[in-house]
Amino acid sequence: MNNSTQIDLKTLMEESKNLTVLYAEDEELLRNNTAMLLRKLFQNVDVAVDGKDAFTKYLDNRYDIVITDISMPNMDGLELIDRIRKMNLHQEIIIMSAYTESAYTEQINTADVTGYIYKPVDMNQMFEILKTSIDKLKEKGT
Amino acid sequence: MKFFNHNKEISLLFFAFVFLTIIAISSKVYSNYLEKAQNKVFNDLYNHPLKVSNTALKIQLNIHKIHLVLHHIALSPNKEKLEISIDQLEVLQEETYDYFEIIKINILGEEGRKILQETLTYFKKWKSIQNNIMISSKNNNFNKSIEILESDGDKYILRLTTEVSKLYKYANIKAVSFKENSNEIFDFQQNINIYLTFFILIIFIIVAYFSISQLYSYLSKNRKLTNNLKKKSKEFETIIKEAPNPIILHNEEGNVLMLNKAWTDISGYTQKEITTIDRWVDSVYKDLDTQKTVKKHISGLYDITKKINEGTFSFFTKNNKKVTWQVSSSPLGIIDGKRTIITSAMDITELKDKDEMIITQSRHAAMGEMIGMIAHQWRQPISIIAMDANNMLVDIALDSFDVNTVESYAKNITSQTQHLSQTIDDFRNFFKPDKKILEVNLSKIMDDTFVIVKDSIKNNNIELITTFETERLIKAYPRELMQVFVNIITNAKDALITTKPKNPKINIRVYEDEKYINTEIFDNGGGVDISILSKIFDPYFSTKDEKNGTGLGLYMCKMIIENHLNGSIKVSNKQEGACFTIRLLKNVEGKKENE
Repeated sequence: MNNSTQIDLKTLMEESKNLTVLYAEDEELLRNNTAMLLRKLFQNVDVAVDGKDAFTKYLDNRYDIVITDISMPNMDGLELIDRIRKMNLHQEIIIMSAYTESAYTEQINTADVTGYIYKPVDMNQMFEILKTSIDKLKEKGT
Repeated sequence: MKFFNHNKEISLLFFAFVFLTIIAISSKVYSNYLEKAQNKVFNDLYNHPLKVSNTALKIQLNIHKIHLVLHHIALSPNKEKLEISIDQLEVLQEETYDYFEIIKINILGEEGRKILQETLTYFKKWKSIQNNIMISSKNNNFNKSIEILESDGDKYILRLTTEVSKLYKYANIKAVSFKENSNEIFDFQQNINIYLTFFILIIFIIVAYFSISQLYSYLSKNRKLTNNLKKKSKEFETIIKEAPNPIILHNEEGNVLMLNKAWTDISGYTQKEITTIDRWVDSVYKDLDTQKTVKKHISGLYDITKKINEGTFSFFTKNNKKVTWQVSSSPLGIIDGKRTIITSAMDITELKDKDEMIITQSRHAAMGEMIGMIAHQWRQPISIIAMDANNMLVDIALDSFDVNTVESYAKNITSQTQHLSQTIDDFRNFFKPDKKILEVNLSKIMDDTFVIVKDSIKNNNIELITTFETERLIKAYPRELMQVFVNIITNAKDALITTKPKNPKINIRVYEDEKYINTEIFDNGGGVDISILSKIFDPYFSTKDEKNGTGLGLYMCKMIIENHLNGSIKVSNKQEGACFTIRLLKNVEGKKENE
């Protein structure tokens, strides 16, 4: 497993390097160390402290991938997704949230997002979803 | 039994007796009158007709005497003898006139007076003849005297005798008729007397019968009433003795007047063992301070004027079993000169045990919710730990493993595990039962509450706004109070998740008024449906589906606040949502118990 991850990671990095990412998470400690990890994969990672912050940043800069938590103050992840979709129907969006938030999961249209990364994050699941997203971007790009 | 009930009969009897007395007195007066009348009749009888007839006889005699004397005068042999005879004549004449006078006074009736008048006239005429004879004899003309005597004198004698006889007869007849008449009257009066006596007798018998029968019925009724009363009071005593709840009668001197079976059965003490309140208190309360407090409380009871609920008392029976009674007392008024109280109790030991069981149960039932809360508490630290591990894995995979960075990851992980461990302690504390009442600050309890609920609130993006307007300490079981707050806040959170208002908020405001410390917990979740507002505190009532609610949460809150802390809890709808208000007495003990 370790080996395959390593290969996957290296090939993934080839493709991910030049992509821009917006990451929204309200919990500071988690935001910090998740951002740290993302920055190891992507050269350009912006962080937002809640949905509202993320949307403002999205208006200034278009990002290749938006990764967002769902439960956040001011503007939650679902509203953020909704607003982004209205501007860009094909925006790559990944949810990174806890499985336990059943109240929200019902409302998530899985077709809207590329994937759902569950917290606490399992690295392989995360990379798989990131890879799907990168592949989709590659298709669009070519 | 009461005098007033017989007022009518008594006044009737009174009047009957008065009537009887009046009749008796008047009959006596009447018979007195009769006696007097009788006397008068006899008097009249002797005074009038008999006197008349007697006098008439005397006049008759005098006529003959005068006739004789006239002969002496006419034939007088000498002067001396003549003188004597004339003297005799004059005396007789005087006497006769006197007799006539007597008759005149006593004779009755017009006819009688007429006869008298005639007789008197004849007598007067005869007297003038007598005088002629007397004068002739004085002049020694005896021949003329004899002539007058023989020619006129005899004629008058005959006539006078007849007249006087008439008088006599008249008087006699008068006397007889008088007697007959008075006999008739006497008979009549006697008859009336007899009738009257008879009448009085009858009335007396009636009155006597009536009063005796009244007296008898009164006495028998009274006896019946007394018997009934005795029976009733025995019944009442039995009712009290056999009543299912403990009942005691005691007075201000501290004497126990009566105890019922329930009292002795539950407490295990016999009536002989608890003859006074002090002995009772000393037997069932072990702690000296409590004994003092309870005695003081009871001595204050004798001033009450209406029923009061004294609250709950827990004490130990003879078998050393702890029981809890809910006690209330009412004044019975003054009995034997002392203020007396009836105290009745309800044995709520089982109920209380059940209550406490439900509280424990409900706290365990809330375990499900708690696990949800723990999940919220743990979600972030676990995610952080996982991400730290992921970072290390990526570093290894990319061959960029650096000792310093790894150290920071490891430190991070350690601090997060501390957090996890703290969460467990917080929740474990929450489930520990409260040992005793403590003086606590509500804001401190609220802080402890937030430790448990804060993440589940925050993870649902709910804003928690707290305002503490007082720092006053209250006496309470802290964890029970926490349990109440956790419950209400969680309910508010659930409501907000369901209704999804724009800016979900839970407001908590603590403030004091004259008597209470008030805690208001309100949300903007739209409020409670009016139709269920009154049922919200009922046990096993829940609006949530079975998975989420046991229906015990708010019931338990009510029980804790009202039964354990002597406060009150109510719910109302505010502008934006439901508002729970908890009122706790300032500086007052949570409950009157010795635990």
